[in-house]
Amino acid sequence: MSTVDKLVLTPTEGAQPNQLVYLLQGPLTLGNLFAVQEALKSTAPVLILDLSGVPYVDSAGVGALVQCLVTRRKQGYRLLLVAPNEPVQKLFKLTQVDSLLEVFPTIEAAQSSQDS
Amino acid sequence: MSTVLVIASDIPISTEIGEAIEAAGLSIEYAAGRSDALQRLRVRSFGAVITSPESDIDEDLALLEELRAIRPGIKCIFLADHSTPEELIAALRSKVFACFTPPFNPRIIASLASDAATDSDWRDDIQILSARPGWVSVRVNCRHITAERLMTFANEFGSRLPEVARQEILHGLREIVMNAMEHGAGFNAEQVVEVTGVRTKRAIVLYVRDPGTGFRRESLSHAAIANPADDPTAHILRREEAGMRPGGYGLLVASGAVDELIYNDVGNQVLLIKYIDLAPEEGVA
Repeated sequence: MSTVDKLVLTPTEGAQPNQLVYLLQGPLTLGNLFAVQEALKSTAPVLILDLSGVPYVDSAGVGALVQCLVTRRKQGYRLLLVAPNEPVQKLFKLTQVDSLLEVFPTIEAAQSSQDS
Repeated sequence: MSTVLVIASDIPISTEIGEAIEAAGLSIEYAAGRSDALQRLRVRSFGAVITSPESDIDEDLALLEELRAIRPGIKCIFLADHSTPEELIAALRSKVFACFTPPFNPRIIASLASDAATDSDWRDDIQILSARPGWVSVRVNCRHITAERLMTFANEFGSRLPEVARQEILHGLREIVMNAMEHGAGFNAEQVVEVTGVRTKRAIVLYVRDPGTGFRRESLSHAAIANPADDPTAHILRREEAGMRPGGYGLLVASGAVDELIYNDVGNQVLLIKYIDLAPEEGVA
């Protein structure tokens, strides 16, 4: 397997017990799809993905996020995305999933969205 | 453990790349310059060599010739202050592993260098079928690393295009090449995909041909492009039922990234067309 698309996922605890935060560093693409899928299988009711360190996402990456979203919604869980860069946001719009995804500018905003 | 030789130890970007390679678990050596690099290569072999960002591609090509006189199979990643289509074609013909010009991304360069250092099947992965500035055709083996190498060259060929258009073209090309390699060839390294990039006065035209049997648009219910307008996730369920990996957005991304996406009747050849008013000296190739 190529490491060209190497993606590093760092888990941290959320501000509340039901939250899990993953910091993603590297591109979210076909090359690392299976690694990220393991993280996306988290059973934490609120899964927060910090995308600020993701330079680009390809169609497989969008697919992984949306499949995670659909699965979690069936379970009554949430998937929150934090700080995707402009090209990634553009990709969400292009693939018509921007209206489905919950996107926040900061981790703090995502964590506190549960209270609002 | 494979070792990467980084030329120009006194340049910050080279040091950053070296540190990123070490972080990826490979060892590195720094060479002070061209002579030092040649001397070190006489003493031992290296998994890959990364040139100085202060040299140009012509200088790097001359160095590569000397490096290969000592170690014929050496893999070389060029860092250069700029690139021209002629230089990039020469680099492809000389089987340079990848080329980068500023702004350099140490993490991406280090990651590719790590792959280069451990890859033994790279040498004939990208073959030029025809190349002149304005028209470049290559045949590439269906491996993920080869697709990434191809994208580094495509990125450089497009370096003088307007930034937004360049990003969109690269996005479209990446999706179609990955589609071709995955669905057309099953990432079988023995199979090849043909890619051609042509610059016209008003457009960039890319052509991709895969070895597969193609597809019919009406059979794409597992792809997002077939979703009804009010249900952008309809295909997700179909993919789950079919045991397919997450995805299905490739054609949607590619068709949105370029102005025209045209498949042949079988579905194994595709044209991507992006309209851009180009000055005569500009273009992807």
